[in-house]
This record gives sequence, C-alpha cells and structure tokens, in this order.
Amino acid sequence: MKIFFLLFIFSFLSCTKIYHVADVQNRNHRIEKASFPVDVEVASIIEPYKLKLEETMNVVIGFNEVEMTKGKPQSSLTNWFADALLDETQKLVSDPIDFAVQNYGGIRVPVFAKGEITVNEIYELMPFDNLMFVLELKGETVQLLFDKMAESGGWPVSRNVYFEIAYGKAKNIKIKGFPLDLNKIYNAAIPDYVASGGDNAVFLTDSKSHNTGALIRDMLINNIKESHAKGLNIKADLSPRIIE
Amino acid sequence: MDRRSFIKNSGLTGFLLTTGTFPLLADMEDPNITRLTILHTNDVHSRIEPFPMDGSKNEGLGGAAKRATLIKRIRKEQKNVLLLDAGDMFQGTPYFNFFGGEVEMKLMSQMGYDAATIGNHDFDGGMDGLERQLKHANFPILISNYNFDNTILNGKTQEYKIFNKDGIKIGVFGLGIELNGLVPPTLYKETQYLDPLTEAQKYASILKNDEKCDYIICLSHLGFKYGPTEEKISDIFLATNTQDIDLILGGHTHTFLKAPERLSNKLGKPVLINQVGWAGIVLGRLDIYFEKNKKDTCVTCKNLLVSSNS
Repeated sequence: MKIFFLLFIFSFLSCTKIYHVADVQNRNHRIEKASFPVDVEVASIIEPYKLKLEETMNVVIGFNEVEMTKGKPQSSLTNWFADALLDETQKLVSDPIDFAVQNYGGIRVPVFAKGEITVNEIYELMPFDNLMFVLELKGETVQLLFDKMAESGGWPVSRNVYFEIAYGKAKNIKIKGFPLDLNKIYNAAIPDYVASGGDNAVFLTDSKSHNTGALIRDMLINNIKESHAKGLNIKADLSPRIIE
Repeated sequence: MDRRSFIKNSGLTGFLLTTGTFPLLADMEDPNITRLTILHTNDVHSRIEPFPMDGSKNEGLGGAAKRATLIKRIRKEQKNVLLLDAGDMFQGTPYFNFFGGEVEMKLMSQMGYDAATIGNHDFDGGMDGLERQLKHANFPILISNYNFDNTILNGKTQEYKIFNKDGIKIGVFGLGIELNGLVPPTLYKETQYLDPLTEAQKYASILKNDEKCDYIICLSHLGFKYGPTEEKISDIFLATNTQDIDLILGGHTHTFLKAPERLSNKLGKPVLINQVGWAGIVLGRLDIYFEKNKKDTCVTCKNLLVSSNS
C-alpha cells in the first residue's frame, strides 16, 4: 500500500510527458511511367531474372482477333476461357465432358489485348499453377454450383450451359440443350482450386474426381498454339450462357 | 507563425514538390514535434516490373525499381521512416511462377522494408515455398493470428515488433485472413487460424500497456470492407470494435483509397485505415506529427482525426 502510494506521488510529481498524435497528413504517391527514374541497385537485382524469363515469355504463340474483356454475368474473355478449357479437357479424357467452369477470380486480367499473344500474357491471365479436374457431379450438385455462380453474378462457363439468374439462383438450366436432370451424373471440367472447395465451393468436395494432371495455363497455351497451327486466330463465342 | 499554421503550410508546399516533402523546418525548430513518415504497400503480387505497355488500363504503372527511387528520395528528406507491407507479396507475374518469390524478397530487402505480414497468396508456393523464401528477407514477417507451431514456419515469424524512432515507440503487429475456403489446405497444412478480433485486441493491449508504445499499427490482410451478407471480419469492423490501435494498413480487397478512412474505435478514439490498391501502383504515405507534452496538454493537436464520416 505504501509503495503504491509512493509510486502515485512519484508519477504525479515527475510530470511525465507523452507523445500526442497532433496531426496526420496523407499523400499517396502514384508511380506513373515517367514519374521516377529506375533505381540502379534494384534494377541490377532484377536484371538476371528478367533475362532468364524473357527467353521463354516473349515467344508469340498465336493471335487474338478482337480485344476481350472480363465481365459478369458472361463476357468475351470468360466465354473464351471456359470454352478453351472444355475443348482441351475433352482432348484428355474419353468420356464426354458436359461442361467446364472456371472461378471468376481465377482470371487475373480485366482485358486481353488484340493481336499477338505471348506466353507472358497467358501467365498474366492465369498465374496460378492450378490443375484441371474432371468431377462426376449429381444433377443436384450441379444446381448448387450454378446457384453459387448465380449468387456471385456469374462465373466463366462453357458454351454448352445456359441458365438465367433470378433472385440470386440459377433458373431454367439447360446443359447441352436439355433441362438439368437432378438424377443424372454430369462430367464437369473444374480447376482443382474450386474442386477442393475453394471460393466456398465446399459442396463439391464429396464428388468423385479425376485429376487430368494438366495445368490450366498449359491448356490455354495449347489451345492458342493449335489454333495458330491451323492458321486460325482466337475469338470468343458470344452465345448466351448466363442471362440476368 | 504558430506551429499549427506552419504544419498546414508545409503540407501545402510539399504537395507541389515531386515527393510531396520538404525538410521540415518545423520539425527541427520545435523540439517537441517529431515527424514519423510511414510508407506502405499491399498486394504487390509479384509486380516486379511496371505493367507492360499493351494498351491496357494500367500500362506503364508501378515497378519495383521506380518505387525504390521514390523511397530513397523520401528517406533523404525524412529522418524517421517506416516501410511496411500488408501481404500478398507473391503471385501474379511469371517472376513468382519461375523463381518462387525469391525476387520479391530480395527487392523488398534491398528497399529496406521494416516488416510485412502474410497474405493468402503468400501460401501459393506451399509452406515449404514460403519457408524457403523467408531466407531471402532481411525484415521480419509479423503475424499474430496464424499459429504455425506444427509447421515448418514455427519460430520463423513474430506476432509483433517495436520500432524506436527518435524516442517514439511504434508497435506493429500483423493479421491474416481466414485460409479455409480461400487457400487449399494442402498449401497451408497445419497452420491454425485464430480469431483476428481477439488476437488484435490482445496484441494491441500488450503493445499499449506492457510495451508502452506511443503509436500502434496493425498490418492487416483481412480486407477493407465486406457486404452485410458476408461473414468476414474487415478492417472497418476491426477498427470500430477494438481499442488502442491507431492505424490499420490494409490489403486483400485491392482497394484504392483516395484518403485514409477515419473512424472511431470502441472508446470513440480515432483510428485510421489506409490501403493502396495493388501491384505497387501506389506507395501509401502518412506523415504522423507527434507532440511531446503533458498527458492532458497538446498545443498542435487537431480534431480532424476524429471521424467525420458516415
């Protein structure tokens, strides 16, 4: 008690000063093209890595006919992306694939430029090392998946799917032109990230799945290369898939 | 000229200069005023080089070598600088796919980052990948709500760190987002996610009461704000439901804030949140002016820190 009292007196007498936050000023610096010169030390650290990358990355693998943009409920870029995954997955498995889905957040660029396509652009588009899985989905799980897609405003889906978004649910679902059969088993091409429950698709984890072993990014690269070999440019199929 | 108007004026002058600063005479003139310059990034996502000149919206923006120049200039002008990152340093360009994060860590070390927290994408190379890259970092990784005890990262991160700048004690702690549903368990393995609100309050209290910090910063990868239906803890929620935190430097939602969000904490005291988008397009900057004075006296204190929002 005595000690406490002494401490109290001491702290009172010492008149301890503290740091008050008097003012805060904010200025965020935007780094524009011409705003600052490069720092030589940092540039020299980057240089050897950059050279190594460029050997692989600057290779032109094909041509894009029209600029493609990413959007919801569907868009040129998301349509093209999902169709390429459908076609490439079908090349790897013998059973017919009913549709392909890609999570919206997995596509990492808002715009895919017209003209020459380099390997680098595909890395920017799909930086993740995700693998393609084929899932055997019951009709009712397909309904859950499409509801999830509807709830988030639409995900990339291949040309053989059609549905309407009504109050955050998928309505009037058609797969390959036929209404969704809740008792049927559908073969769906879905990246491992989503198949393992990513993006809150936990309801997919109980379904039977097969790993194709192919990276999503490599599938896109192959798709473009093969079109190019046939003398074709890539171009989105704009047929209606998800309607709001 | 009184101190208050001098600070105001110097801010205006600064605006006209390249880096927005000027060797502040006020700081030197008045021994009771100390300025701390906080620089920060978030979600740089392996953007080592500026965006390519391909006609896209972000073409030519960002780039580590230019950011380094800016940081060096600011360090020349300012005595007390803290450079921080709020996570997702990795993933987004081939630099990560090919070199696993090594370039990112080496550059941040060269630029003199003082600390960083972990974002969900920093797990993209798995626990082994992250552990390997930490060897290239000369700055600490601060994270208070991931328990790494049963993982390879055990003992390789810290909950918080205290920086002493000109006598001012600044406590910095880190918070990460829930990994389940966002990152495949095969990548984060036995990492245990702890409630960010509980951990934030715990470490803010430790920094305030035990460590006697003058200023407390939370490096957060929780995300700025979520819709009413999303059950996720955001920086806004964190700010208004805790006490003792002065500043939250956020990430994850890639939010470009034009100015820091000013909110009131649980006790009605001011909390600031800042977040600067992604990809190193913007270097965030806050200049904090501290006045050393008696507990109940502050000549230059401004009321504008108190939330005027909503």
